Amino acid sequence: MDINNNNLLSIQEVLADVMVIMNDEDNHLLTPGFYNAQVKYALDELGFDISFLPVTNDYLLPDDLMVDMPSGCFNLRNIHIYTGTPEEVGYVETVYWRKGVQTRGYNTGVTANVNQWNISDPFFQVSIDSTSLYYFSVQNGIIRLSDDCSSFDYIRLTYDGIPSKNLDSVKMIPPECRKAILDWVTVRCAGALKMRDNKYRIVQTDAEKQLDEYGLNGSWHEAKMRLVRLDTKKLKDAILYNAKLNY
Amino acid sequence: MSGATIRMVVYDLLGDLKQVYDDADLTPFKVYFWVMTFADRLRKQHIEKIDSGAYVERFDVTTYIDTTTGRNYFTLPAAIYDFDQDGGIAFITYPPKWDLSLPMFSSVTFTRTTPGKAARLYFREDERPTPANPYFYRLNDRIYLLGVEEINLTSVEAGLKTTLDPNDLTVDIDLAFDFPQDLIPILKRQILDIGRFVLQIPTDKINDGAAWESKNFPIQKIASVNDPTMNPQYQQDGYQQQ
Repeated sequence: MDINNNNLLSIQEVLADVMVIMNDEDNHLLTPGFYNAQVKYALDELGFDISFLPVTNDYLLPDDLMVDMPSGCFNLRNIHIYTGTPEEVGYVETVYWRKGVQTRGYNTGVTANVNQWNISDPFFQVSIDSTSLYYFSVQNGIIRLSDDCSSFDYIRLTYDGIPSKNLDSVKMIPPECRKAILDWVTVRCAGALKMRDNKYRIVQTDAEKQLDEYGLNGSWHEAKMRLVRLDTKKLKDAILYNAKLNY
Repeated sequence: MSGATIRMVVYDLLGDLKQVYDDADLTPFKVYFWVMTFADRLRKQHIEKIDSGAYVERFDVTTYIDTTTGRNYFTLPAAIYDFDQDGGIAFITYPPKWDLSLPMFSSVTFTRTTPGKAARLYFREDERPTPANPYFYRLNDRIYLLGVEEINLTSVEAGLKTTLDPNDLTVDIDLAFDFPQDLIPILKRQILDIGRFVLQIPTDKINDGAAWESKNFPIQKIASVNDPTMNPQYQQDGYQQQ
């Protein structure tokens, strides 16, 4: 299901429960920052398990055709380059990943496992006489575009965002996964306290049981299923589309 | 606060110990000292056990900057109980006047830490001491504040679990006794015990040398037992010298 930003809950909504469970409403056991960090930690873990935060950003193409990987991006979904502006997109091309390519940027040449012209190799000869090759590779965390991309103005990146880096810290908990976050944070906080007082081991064990992070019978899996489920509209449209066999 | 006054408790104990006459062995001040000392101990146990704000006192405290270290601190305005993890400090917050102008501080309380543990707080942005996420730690009678170095903090509001000070002679003993009423029977019992014990101690001993080994030395004039003048029995029996 798509995340509705208007429904997002604050970190404090979750902590209001966790701190009661931990009997630490006055923060005499753990600091407020520790609790906050655990909520973000939980949200990020859930985000890595099931991508629920697609992010789209436009960047002006630099002269050297090297674009820094955006902060908070952990999984590229799409790269498009286009002419015009983000408000008035003109001609669009999809940029594909080319394996094993290294370049120092625009007009510095390219090396690759499979080169564009390699007619002297006795074992593996290649000759691709083509223009308008729009591809990219990633080196050292930098997206490097092929020289042919230079005729475009903008690059649009669509990627999975790390939740804690992309969501407003005031409101960042999707209600669909509130229960899972609550259990996850409880497990971690109780784990942090069990060396101080063994009774927290019981709290941790109980919360772990409800969470079942690596199994299929807990709030963690339930949250993932909720997030991965298609909206009903999308599902109906997909069924309709498939039923028509694309005619 | 209502209930018994300190005077009532003190004179009740003096009456029970039969010490209400002139030149009594136990003076009211001595019993007052006992009352305050034992009450302080019982009160500490009570506060530690009962989760209540009944014995939390609020103070507006002026903060200073240590000229040597540059750290913000304030001095404890009263003696507090030394509970585990500085539990004698119920809360420290920004003063209410700040809350009106800076709402972000209104719900902020200073979190307890120690100098040793404070280093870890700087490892993570969420825990880093800031004006919105401040900390305190105690060193003797000083409370140091972390995270407020960048703001001009002049005072804080502190809730403290203060002790009864037996040495404070300015206490008005006719005011209500700041002590759990339900513990007064236990307090009385403990003071009666100590009072009875004290009263059983023998009166002042005088160093008359009685414990000295030479006590057996004759202290009277040595006289012959055969001296009739020294032995009246001879005279009564009509003994005649031959």
